[in-house]
Amino acid sequence: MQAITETDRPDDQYRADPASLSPARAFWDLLLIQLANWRWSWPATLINGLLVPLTALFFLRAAAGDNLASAEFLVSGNIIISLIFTTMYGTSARFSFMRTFGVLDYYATLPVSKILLVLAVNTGFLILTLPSSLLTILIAQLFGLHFQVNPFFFLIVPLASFSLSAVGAFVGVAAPNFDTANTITGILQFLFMGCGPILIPAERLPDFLNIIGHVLPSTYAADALRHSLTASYDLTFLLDLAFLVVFDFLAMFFVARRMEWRRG
Amino acid sequence: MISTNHEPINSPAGRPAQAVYHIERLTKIYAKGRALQTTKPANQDIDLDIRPGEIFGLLGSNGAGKSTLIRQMVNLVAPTSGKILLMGQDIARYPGAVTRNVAYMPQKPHALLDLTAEEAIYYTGHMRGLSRPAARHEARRLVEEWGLKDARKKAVRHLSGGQHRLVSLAATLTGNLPVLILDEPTNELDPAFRKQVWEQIVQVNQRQGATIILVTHNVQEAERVIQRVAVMSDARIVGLGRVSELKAQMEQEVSLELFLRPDAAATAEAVLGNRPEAQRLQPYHWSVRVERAGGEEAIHRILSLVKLERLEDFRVHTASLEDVYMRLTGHTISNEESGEDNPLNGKR
Repeated sequence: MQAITETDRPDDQYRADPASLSPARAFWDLLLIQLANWRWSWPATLINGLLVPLTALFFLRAAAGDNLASAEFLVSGNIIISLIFTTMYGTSARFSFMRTFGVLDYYATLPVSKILLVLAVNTGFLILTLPSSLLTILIAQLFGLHFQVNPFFFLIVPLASFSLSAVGAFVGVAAPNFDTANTITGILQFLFMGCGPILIPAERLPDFLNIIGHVLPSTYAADALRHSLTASYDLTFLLDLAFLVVFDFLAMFFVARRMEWRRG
Repeated sequence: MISTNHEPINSPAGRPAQAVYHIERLTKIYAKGRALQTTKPANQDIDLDIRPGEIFGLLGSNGAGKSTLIRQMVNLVAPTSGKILLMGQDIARYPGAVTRNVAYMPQKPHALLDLTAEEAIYYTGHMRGLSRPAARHEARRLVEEWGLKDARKKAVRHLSGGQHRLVSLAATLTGNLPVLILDEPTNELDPAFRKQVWEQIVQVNQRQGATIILVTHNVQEAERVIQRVAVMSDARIVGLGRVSELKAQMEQEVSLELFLRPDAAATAEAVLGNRPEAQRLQPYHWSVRVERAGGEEAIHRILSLVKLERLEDFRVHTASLEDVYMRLTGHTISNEESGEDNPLNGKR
């Protein structure tokens, strides 16, 4: 066909070459765009990010009393909620917003993949929630709890949060409006937290909830993070990691194949 | 001067080049229970070829199906039946054909609102595949050339409607993609900005050979730029061809436009209301089609009935694209407000 060829153009240097767009480069751009959303409102985000976990920490510590094991479970559960469930909720809200206001259309017409967009939104939320979680860990030391931040922590956090963020992205895109997306994500968050040893130890949960918890990524994410925070590595820790990797691959597969960013 | 008369690019043998877009029996019916709550087609049996290097206009009133058509052309809406080939590739099977070749500017661009104007252009270019220095250079150039220097470091959401639209258009142009689809590019722009946009569109078409598909309500201005046009009404294409060809269908007629004083509305309604050749465009603005042969008498008669002293102004002119549109669809286009792409509205 008589296509417009390179030689027809006087300014080839400024003609886009989509083949040169590597996934890493696209991810970096998408991440910076996500972070730019908070550039104008970072003080409020920072205050909110610090106040919420600290307040929760004091309440949880009071509830656990002098039982250090209980307190450890509650505080680590609080960190898990902040890092994983808040990220899922935020990702859902962000995708719902992007869907409602046509922002997703912009990305859909660029040569970037849906997986990279979910990863970028997820990473953006993680970067915002990570400081407050690290602060929580630091303050927990003052209460006599011994948490560690080691390289495993920084491996597990993105691994754990991605599969649930993918769920959030699915909900955000599939829900007909912003309110419905929030409600569905809220219910899912409640289910994920209740079905499995996230805030309550497994031995105190009814059996059927433990059984359901075995198929939820949140259970493995929470267990892996807890192992990492308490530096207790055993076979279950490796199993947690293996399950999270499988869940992440499944999430990527479903995002690529099933998450429809077209409206019609 | 923003008019352009150059021919679309043809093959060396003189045969028409293969279409950039080839659309075949395209129909879209939105699922019941979503948005419109209807099974009425948004597009029905659309057949259309868009040729390389042309500026193609898509005209139609709200709900005519233009936005659904272009959203299907950029793969944002899946057709119910029919197919769309872009440069020979079926976009349903090869969605990359769209993302690699087509730059789309929606009617209400809501993306990148938290970036500055320069960043919005830079990131769009970079994510399309421009190198970092080239994307930066293009962003700076476009910001300067388009008079957006003041907006350079401001978040897009804090810009005026016109500046926002210019930033979106500049971002659409960056990367020099071969096909541009622009949905109402001059909405919310003042006359000086509109002139600038039309000039840029012509320049991009002539300098880069880009194929440009325009949806616009601004028929009078677009007429000087558009080479071929499709008129849509009620989900179908009701007119297709070169602007000059379509206008030639009405060369036996002239239009008499009457701009009435407010106190003459009732008289005009009584005199013109029952005439099929007369159409009220606005409360005090009528257009009457008059046969060119013997038209002097007819015009004199109409002016006598309405009375010159009741007119603020009148003019007689040969058929414009807007007249063609009115003839094909039975209504006017310029005065309609557009809201097709508002995500909070219906689909069409």
